[in-house]
Amino acid sequence: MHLYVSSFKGLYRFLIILSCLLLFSFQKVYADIQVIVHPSAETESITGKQLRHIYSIQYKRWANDKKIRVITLHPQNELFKKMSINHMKIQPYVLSRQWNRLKYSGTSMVPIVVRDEDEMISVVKRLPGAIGYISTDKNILGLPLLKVEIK
Amino acid sequence: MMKFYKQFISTVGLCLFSLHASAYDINEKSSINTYISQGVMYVPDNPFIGMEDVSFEVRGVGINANYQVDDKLRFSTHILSKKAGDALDGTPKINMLLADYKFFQENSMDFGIRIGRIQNHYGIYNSTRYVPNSRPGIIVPQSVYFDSTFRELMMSSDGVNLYAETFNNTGAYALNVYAGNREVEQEAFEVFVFKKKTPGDFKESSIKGLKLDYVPNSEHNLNFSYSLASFSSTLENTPFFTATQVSDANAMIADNPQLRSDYVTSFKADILVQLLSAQYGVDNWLFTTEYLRANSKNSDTSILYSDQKNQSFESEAYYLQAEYLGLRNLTVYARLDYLYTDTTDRYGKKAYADGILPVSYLGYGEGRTVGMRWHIMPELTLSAQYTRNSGTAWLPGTEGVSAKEYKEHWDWYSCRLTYEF
Repeated sequence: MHLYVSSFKGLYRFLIILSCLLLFSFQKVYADIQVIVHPSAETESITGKQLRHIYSIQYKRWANDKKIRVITLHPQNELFKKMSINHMKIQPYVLSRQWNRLKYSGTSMVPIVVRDEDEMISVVKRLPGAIGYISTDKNILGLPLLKVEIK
Repeated sequence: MMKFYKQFISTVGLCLFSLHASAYDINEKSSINTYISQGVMYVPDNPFIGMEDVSFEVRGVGINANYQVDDKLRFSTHILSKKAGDALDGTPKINMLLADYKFFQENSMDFGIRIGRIQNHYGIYNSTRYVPNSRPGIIVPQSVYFDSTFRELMMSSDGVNLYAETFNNTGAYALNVYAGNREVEQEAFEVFVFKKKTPGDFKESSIKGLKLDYVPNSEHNLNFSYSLASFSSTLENTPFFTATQVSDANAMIADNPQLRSDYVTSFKADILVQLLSAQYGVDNWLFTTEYLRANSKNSDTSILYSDQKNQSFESEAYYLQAEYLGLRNLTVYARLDYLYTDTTDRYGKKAYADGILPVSYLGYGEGRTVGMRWHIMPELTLSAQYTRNSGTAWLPGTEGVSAKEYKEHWDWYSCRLTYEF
């Protein structure tokens, strides 16, 4: 009986370790990206180049002169990497180092970094002129947000 | 003992303030970023800023805060408490405290002025060198950033910075012009100029400089910059010598020319540094190179009240660095650093023969570095680095140790844990 329990203990340990390894090795697979803005931005579409200028803190105002507030996920986040490479055509580490330079040299405000997509939605909803991005599997119907088409 | 407690209390205070402050991080008008780092260093071959064997006396706490008052006015500060062996004692210092006023801004163009303790705009890493995870590896490239000699002087100055930023179809441009003053790290500056600690003080240096940045529109993973910086400092509080002392000292100098620097009665150092920088990101690789050319001019020099001829020499330095960012949560890098303090005498042999250098290898530095950074969590990183050095040009001097006691070839191991929030 003792041997029977011991062998199961070993199995449990093995399963726990295996689960941890699987959890660690699987990355979240995101659907495609949708760009969201606060309605005050009055924008329906945006090009990848414009996105790059906005996230490089070069464009600072919308066409209606409203100040742009840039919101982003952490540079280690896979969705941020996808957004940089696929849509802005810039390496994510190049962009995050640009922000570090601006932030730590005291030369400019930099994007507000949020923890996850839910916080992204909440901040973009709250801040006039804000722009952010989330995966397309997030439903924003009924929320006071504009979905912007990426051209 | 009192000094230790004072430093301990101030460092803990900074930590507590930063933990409290981080609660208010997300705000459209302000941002606060904090980091805490603890390192371990091992330099087995040479004395290294008072560290012996494996040393944990490498740690830092820093706070960076920005507050946007309105569209035109912004305040920014960075306070750092850093302990590094005998070189830095952990007393909190203000690295940056500035007001930034934009007097013209359109979507593609900005002009403004910054006043206060401003960052010196120089090279790729200077403005972020005090933030552990903004540096390539554990330390900035020693060949062009002089971390162990002119750290404070290179980082920031009390003065004014005018700036202009624009972008058009050809790319993005930024120009910074600045001027100010900063106190000199006396001992390091004296060792750089005279190759040893000498009587008299370099108290302050005037700093003037400019930096031009360019990111082409055709390739936004590529950037270039040109930096120009000039430093000027005069030796003060030189000793007084009687006629008898002058006569005796001249006799000693005749026997040993290396004693000349002990009897300097006036001296002015002017250093003009030019730096070309380029960085290119392609797929998971980031390549960086910077090339430095510096002209050092010594004028108004007198030894035992006897005027000396003005001297000038050219220094050259560069590094090549490759970082690979394609591994999950792990960055690995390699770097080659080269520094030659006199381009006409690259390995210091002539200067040693003439009695100017106590050892020839004080005139150059060559380093081969490999390292890695592991992002354990977004906020927590572990870095490790190994450098094989030849020459002691960037090895900081240790009190009571003469240059002759250092080995020419030496290893440098370091490791650091950093938490950012």
